[in-house]
Amino acid sequence: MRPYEWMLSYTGQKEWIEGQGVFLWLAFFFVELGAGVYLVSLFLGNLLGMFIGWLITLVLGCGCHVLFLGQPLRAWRAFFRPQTSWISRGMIFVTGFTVFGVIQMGLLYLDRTPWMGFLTVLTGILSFLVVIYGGFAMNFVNGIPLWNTPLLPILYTVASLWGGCEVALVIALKGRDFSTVETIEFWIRLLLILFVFLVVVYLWSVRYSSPAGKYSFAQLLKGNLAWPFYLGVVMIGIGIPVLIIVYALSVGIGSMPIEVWLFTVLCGLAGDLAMRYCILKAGYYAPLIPLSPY
Amino acid sequence: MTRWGMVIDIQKCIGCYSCMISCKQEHFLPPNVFWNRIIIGESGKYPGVRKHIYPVLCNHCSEVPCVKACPTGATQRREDGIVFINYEECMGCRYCLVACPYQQRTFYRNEGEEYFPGQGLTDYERLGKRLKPYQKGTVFKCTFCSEKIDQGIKHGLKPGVDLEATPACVTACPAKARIFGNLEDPESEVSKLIRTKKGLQLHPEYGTDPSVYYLIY
Repeated sequence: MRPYEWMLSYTGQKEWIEGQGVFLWLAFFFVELGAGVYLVSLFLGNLLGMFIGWLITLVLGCGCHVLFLGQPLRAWRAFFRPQTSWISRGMIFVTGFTVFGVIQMGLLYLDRTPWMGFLTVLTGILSFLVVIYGGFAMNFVNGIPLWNTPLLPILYTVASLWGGCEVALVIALKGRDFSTVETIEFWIRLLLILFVFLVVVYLWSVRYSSPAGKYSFAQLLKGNLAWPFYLGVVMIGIGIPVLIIVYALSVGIGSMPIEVWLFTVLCGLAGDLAMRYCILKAGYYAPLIPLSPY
Repeated sequence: MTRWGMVIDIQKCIGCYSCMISCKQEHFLPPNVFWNRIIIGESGKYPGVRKHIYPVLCNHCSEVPCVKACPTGATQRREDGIVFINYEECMGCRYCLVACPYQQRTFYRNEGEEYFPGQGLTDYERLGKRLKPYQKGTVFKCTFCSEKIDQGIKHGLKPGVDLEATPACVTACPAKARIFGNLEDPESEVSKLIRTKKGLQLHPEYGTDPSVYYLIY
């Protein structure tokens, strides 16, 4: 693009998805997925699941955040601006979650119960806040209509909890805990239906929000993002899990091989990742001046 | 009270890029970085085509999304309305960059880039690295030439009137399309122009209340 063509037509944001920005996409995904796994495992009382969720958030999520930052050694400064900045709030939530999470898991492992009720509530709230902050951080950007909608944080929250349930399902399958498998599978079904409903309503609302929103919608469904959207989100993320779940319900959940469930979980996670990619990539700003491109 | 602002008369702008070049020169900006831009668009169809030239820069908004977004407090708004970045505090998360609906911020990533690749730095570039040591991995943007303004005021000069205390893009404009002054002073030239010629802000629907106004008549 030449300097005189800057923001003359709809301009896609690049900093949070291209080049080093890829790490932010992965960071949001892993941080929220890990917190989702922790939250679901906390609900089910599964210590291994909690540990895996905590590890995903800390190692993969925070690791990607560090790789994304231009000056990571200054990240500590982000603790002091929670009044207005969602990134700052997110940093506090993630830190609180990792610190109190390890305390809770340590006490659980040692079979000690002092403060456990308080810790359960605290880590439950903190992991939920970690799940929601990414959506709110993007929702704050009012120049991008695709992000500036209250449906986005809800969609991200549902996607993270869905991912959390999927990973918890794998852990339960590995432990051959079939009563838990049935409970989680029920939640996965519910969250999958909710996810599909939210994706449709979200895209529909963006389509009629503003011309830039309409442009983003067109890029997702007919433009250069149609491939990742249809293949990643619709086919792999929704289509395959729906087909397998319907088949599993018809033949009995217990009779499905573990490998098939693993494949379903991988498809669901890939779909979540693809959805986040599409939403980041399809974030377009309106032109600075109301003219046709030069 | 002072709130520095700028009025850009679109009818007077001849699209000579003086503002863009003088800004790059004043701030020793690295290759491919522009704090001031001239954007050129067309409307209509042949033979009734019209060419539109819009100089754009950081709007130094009153309701600043970049300041609110910044998690470290590196981006701040001074009492005189100038929005600035403290490079020492920026952690390079680029949230401000994404939050700016006008996209007037740049992430500095290519520290070693030369104006003449493979031929080493020129004397000008070496001087720039000494005088304006921008930090790799941080965000930067137009400062309204706050250094000139501050120095000028210290020496009893009036920004917008005295050239030494006025942003480089304003002093460089040969068509006098840019006017700088205090938006809070009803008697300043900028306030009078905005009042009489109905100055417009870019995308007022964002609710950012920019300090840069355009005269389109």
